[in-house]
Amino acid sequence: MSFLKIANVSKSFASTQVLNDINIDIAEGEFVVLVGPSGCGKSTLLNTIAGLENVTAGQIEIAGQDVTHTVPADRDIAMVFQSYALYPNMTVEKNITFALEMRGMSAEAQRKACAEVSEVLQISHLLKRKPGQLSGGQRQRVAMGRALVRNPQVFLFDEPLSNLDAKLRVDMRTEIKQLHAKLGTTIVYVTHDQIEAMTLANRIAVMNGGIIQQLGTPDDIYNRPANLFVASFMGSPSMNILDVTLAQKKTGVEVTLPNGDKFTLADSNIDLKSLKDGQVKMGIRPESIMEKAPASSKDFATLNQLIDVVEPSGSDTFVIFQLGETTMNARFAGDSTVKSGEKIKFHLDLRRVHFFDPETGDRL
Amino acid sequence: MATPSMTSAPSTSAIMRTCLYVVLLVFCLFYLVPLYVMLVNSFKELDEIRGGGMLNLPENFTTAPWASAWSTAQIGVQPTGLKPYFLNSIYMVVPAVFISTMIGALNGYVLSKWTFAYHRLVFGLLLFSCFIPFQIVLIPMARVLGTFGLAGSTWGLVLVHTVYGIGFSTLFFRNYYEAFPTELIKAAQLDGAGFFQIFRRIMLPSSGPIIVVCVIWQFTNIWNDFLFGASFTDFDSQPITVALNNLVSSSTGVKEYNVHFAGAILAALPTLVVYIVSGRYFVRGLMAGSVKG
Repeated sequence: MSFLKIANVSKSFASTQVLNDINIDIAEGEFVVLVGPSGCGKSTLLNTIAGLENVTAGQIEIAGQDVTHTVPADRDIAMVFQSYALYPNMTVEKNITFALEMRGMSAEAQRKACAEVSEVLQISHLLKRKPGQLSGGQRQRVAMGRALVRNPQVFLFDEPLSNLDAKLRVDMRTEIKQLHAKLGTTIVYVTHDQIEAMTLANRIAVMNGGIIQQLGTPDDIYNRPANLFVASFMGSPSMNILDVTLAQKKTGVEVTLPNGDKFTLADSNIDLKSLKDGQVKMGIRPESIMEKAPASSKDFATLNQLIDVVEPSGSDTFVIFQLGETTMNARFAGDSTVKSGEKIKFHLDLRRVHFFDPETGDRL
Repeated sequence: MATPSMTSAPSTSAIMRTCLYVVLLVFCLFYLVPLYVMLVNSFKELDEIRGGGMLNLPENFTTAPWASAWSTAQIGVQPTGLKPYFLNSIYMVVPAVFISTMIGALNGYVLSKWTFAYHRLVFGLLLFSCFIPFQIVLIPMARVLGTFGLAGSTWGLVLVHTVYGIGFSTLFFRNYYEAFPTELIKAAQLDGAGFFQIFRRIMLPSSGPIIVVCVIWQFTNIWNDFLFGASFTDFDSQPITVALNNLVSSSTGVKEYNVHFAGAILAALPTLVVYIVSGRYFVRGLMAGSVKG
């Protein structure tokens, strides 16, 4: 049963198609994150859900009501904007209660609702101030308060954390997740930050070029990316993509790496029989290339390579090396003692390689 | 090598600076001397003015010329002084400034936040109206006023100045609102505010600087207008600029220079006051509106 239904939605501005036949069914209480590079149409999609932009084709339903042509005010949604969009001439309290006033709620009820929400967000002491006198984090809270106070069917978040500094962003991220757990309201959240997407979402929709590339749980998106775009967009550092040659052998599938090294895939979660011989793209995440591996395990392929660069980051050590023409990134433990210029053994976890069609980019 | 340049650098700049100040001072005097002459002579008796010594301070200080200019001087056929015409100007300028500013704000709001197909063209045409010389519209305007039955009335002048002012006021507000974050409008829409509610509750309260700019601009232009005032009014509805002209250029009797000076200052006083009171907002608002837009 879908609560927010986006069916065949397309949107074009003059001759440019911004959204192309988008279909998403969102269940009540779900937290869905739209993620993608800038210009992928994610904010436009959010605006069409809000009713701030009209769709060119398709339909949007909220709680069983067709709202495709309903004005924003009557959709029973609330939105948090990237710039917070607080009314500069009003106090925090007035900002929060403005929507209630517009809906004709009594002054007494407004005050009560405002008090409750500011309690939850710990902004009670700020109510008499103007937005100009608040810090970035406080403004963010007020913006959320303004959305919360309406108790809407759906919350829309448009990159709400991208104007905050790094530490505050992480804190607010956790708070948003807690808030969702507490309220259980349906949320659609737009971000370009894939970590935010992974940590917050029940489901992620990865968008590019006005098309949903993949819609799935964070686990699906990360571990079973539907195509090359999703594979390389999600994850930091991004997945290593190599040109390899496949050949079916009796013992399994023989994979030839760009530098000429070969290994055989015997047992895998991929249907090996379906792979055709020839050139494909192979993807492997940095954390699937290891410094140490169980001895003589058939699940690992070993490469002898020279280390180019070592980048310690505290919790991890990133090791960059060349494989043929391709620059590879491996994530070792933070206490790794490898040095650049050393020749060491890299162990590829064969259970976690991905193959993609070189033409279409689709997962094989 | 370094020493001479270090000593000469400040001294050159001091010389330059002195020259600059001298030049500025000269220009300042150039503009202030006429005002000074008007002021000192408006407090002299007529005999003293005839005796020459235009720049001297008054020997027998008198405020009689001011009283005469205000309430008893002969203007046209009536010895009414400038007072009724001063009031005419007030009755004209207040509604005209208010209405043209409000319409400009509304236009600016629509042209920047509720854009429609060809909104640029509409804005361009409105801008074009800023550059139409007064003289061109005299005859068409006379016809329009005649048709509406507003010829020879203060309300006719209000209409003329409002229409003429809309071009500039729209330009001011449109550029100011262009820099106004559109997300605020979206947020207000989601909050359930309508077109006019957003305008009144969100836009107008944030428009202080540009309202000041617009009011000063319109006030000075409308107050100082002579051509429309002379063309479209009858004797009872003349603005002060026309009355001043009638006072000064009357060809009968003695030329009362002291009364003329006092009258001229009276006529210029309101714009002077407006500038002194809100001049710094004017500059600030101009910057805010134009640079960001």
